[in-house]
Amino acid sequence: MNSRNIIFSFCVCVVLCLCLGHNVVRAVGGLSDDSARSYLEGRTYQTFPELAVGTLADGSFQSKFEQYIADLIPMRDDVMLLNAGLQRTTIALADAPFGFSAYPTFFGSDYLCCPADSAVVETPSTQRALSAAALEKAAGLFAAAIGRHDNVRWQFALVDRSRSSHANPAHDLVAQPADYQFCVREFLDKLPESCGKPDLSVADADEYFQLFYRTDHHWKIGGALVAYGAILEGFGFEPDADYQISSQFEGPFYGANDRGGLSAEFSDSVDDVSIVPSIQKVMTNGKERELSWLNERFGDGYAGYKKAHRLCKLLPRR
Amino acid sequence: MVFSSSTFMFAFLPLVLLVYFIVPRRASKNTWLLLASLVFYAWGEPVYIFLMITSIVVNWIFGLVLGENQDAASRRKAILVLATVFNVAVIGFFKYEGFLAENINALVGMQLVPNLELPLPIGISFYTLQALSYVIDVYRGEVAPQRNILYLGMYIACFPQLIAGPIVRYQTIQDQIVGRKETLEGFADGMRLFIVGLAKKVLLANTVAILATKILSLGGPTIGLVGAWAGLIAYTFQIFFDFSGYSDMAIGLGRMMGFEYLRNFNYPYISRSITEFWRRWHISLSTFFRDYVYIPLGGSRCSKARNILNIAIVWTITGLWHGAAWNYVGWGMYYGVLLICEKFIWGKALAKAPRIVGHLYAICIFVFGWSFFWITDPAQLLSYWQAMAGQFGLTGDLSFWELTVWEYWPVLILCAVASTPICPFVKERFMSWVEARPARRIGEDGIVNPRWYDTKELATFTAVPASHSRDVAYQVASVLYDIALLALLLMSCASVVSGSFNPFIYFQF
Repeated sequence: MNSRNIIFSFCVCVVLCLCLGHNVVRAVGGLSDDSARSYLEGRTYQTFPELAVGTLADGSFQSKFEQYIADLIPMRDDVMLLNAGLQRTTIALADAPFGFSAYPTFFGSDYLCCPADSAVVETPSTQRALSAAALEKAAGLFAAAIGRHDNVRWQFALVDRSRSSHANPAHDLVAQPADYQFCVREFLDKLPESCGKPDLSVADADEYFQLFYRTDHHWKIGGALVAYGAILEGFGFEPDADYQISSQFEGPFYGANDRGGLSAEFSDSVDDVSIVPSIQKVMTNGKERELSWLNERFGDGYAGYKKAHRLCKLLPRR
Repeated sequence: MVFSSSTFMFAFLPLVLLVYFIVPRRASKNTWLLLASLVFYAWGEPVYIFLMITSIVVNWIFGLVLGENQDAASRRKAILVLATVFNVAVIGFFKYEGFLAENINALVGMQLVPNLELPLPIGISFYTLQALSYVIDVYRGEVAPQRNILYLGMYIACFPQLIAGPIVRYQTIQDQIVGRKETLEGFADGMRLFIVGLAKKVLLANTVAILATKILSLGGPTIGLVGAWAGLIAYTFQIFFDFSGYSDMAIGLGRMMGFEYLRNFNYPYISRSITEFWRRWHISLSTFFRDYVYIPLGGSRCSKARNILNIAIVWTITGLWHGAAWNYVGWGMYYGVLLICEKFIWGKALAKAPRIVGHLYAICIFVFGWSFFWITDPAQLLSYWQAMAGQFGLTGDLSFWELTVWEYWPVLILCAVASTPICPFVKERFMSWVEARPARRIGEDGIVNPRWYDTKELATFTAVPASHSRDVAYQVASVLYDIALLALLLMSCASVVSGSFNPFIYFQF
């Protein structure tokens, strides 16, 4: 009995002393720089807060200390992913009798796991949150701006993004979605006739995930090119440069929906675009540029940004 | 500081326990416990710590003065009145000033009393009652006055029960202040009970709280009948597992340091009447009001009319103790009326009715009662009741999917099972087999008997096997039991750490 109590007490004490022990190891330099940074939250961990009468009295020391201690947990990101994973398993079990196509990534999450599409998407906006009156007001403001600059040609490209897209797997599960059609009706249609309104609506989930990341709210470079072409056409240009989409980095790329939804079940790869040389020189701001400059400048900066800010783990191009 | 925070679990508790078991003598252990408790309190209430220290000092003086006036009955009574007025005034001012000002001003139609909008000192409702019970017990001669102010301070401020109870009476632990004994078995069993309480709070209460909070924030017309009932059921489990989880953690922490607190919750949701419910729910509060208010008022040994008045007074105070708002008063009176009815009208019939009738009756009453307790705004409460009656359709303005009720059914089922004494029942069956003795039945001492306040058996797994083969089974089961508890601890820790998740703001754009 005593040995059982000793082993049990020892195990519990080890768990409770994890933070302090981890701090000691970190202090003696036994951990890499990465251990001081949250990949999921995109932030550096809280350092020991300033201890002063003022910070104690207003409670800022206490709240920062709470964050400091929580940040000391070894493999904190993995612990959070594990916890959310356990909750997601419970929700998936709950979903089984209903067979919904999307369910939250954890209890209270705004992000939805869509196993059939291998995607994590945002919860669709509703007309309660995004009212027709608010859209109409916004349309009025834009219309006034357009009216003040009637010598300018306008194109308003409303992007069919995850929250409002008909292609969102949870679109039909919501009672009053503020979807693309709703936004067109309440916003786009109320802009002046003189303003061009390229149709960027997406037909279905298959098309949507060709244009947008499966685990992020941003469009891929392919989606941007489609919108770019539609806007150019609206202005009367013919986009004639050939381009080629290729994978820039080897995955996995865990997008913002993954990180916000604490899910690592699905991942993306990051694409890049390179312009095939049907043209050799381009003119920008009166200067002649080489094609390589164009490719560097207008390649997918998103992946580079994410990498630079250590928001995703990307491997270099082979 | 709350038990289910990273600061408490990963910094405060290890540090306090480490020093507590290192320092050698009882006096230094008690002093350390007092210091730690003051830090624990000051963490959330840096200013109100002075209020608590004042309460300790003043009640210590009252105790001493009462002790030195053993033979002067009238003077003792005057001191008791003074002590009661002091303690009631402290809680009255800090907890009820705004409520009183609001209502008096509304009554006279002018700003007669300024509403100071004081923040409520955490735990004041608990530690004031503890201090009051000490002075009353000294007056009654049931306990000797505590001459060491540090020891009395440790009793009043002791961090395990400081912010959420149980209300520990001085007579319960007066001998333990100096004479308690810390043991390895007590430490391990205390830790086991702490883990059970932590899991109740973090894994069950916090999870169903997400549903309850969401449903409440949406309002009746949005949620419809399904949402309203699911939200109220979720709240019913939230409040039970939250509160009883805290009590288990407090009792467990106390046991680790050698204290034996009394039971505070005893499976209240299996009650067959409201009288039984209040013998099982927040036992330390109901027994406090019974012993210090109801019985001094005359209890039931008086006329029927006076008895009804006594019950009404006690339950109005009970309601008011829970919060400074009319909904709490209404909630208290609701139970007062029901208890009067059970006592004088349908109690006997209920006792003779089939068990299932009693269970359904009690469940309907306490679930509905939580709606008073939960929703403070009368208009919102009315709209919620309309939703419960189906006035806004099945799912209100939302789709069934949007209600998110469906996500929680496995958790709600788990909560329902965990609200019953299935674990002690299974444990008793197994232990009786291991020890080759007849199993105690549900309702016997130690097995969910509402009048059994001892906590020694909670979360323990100890037996004296009758034979070698049974010993092997017992050893295997006890190891599995500890592994399950460690798994619960790890899951609870992961949940506590996840509570600090701050999504990067850029993600929203």
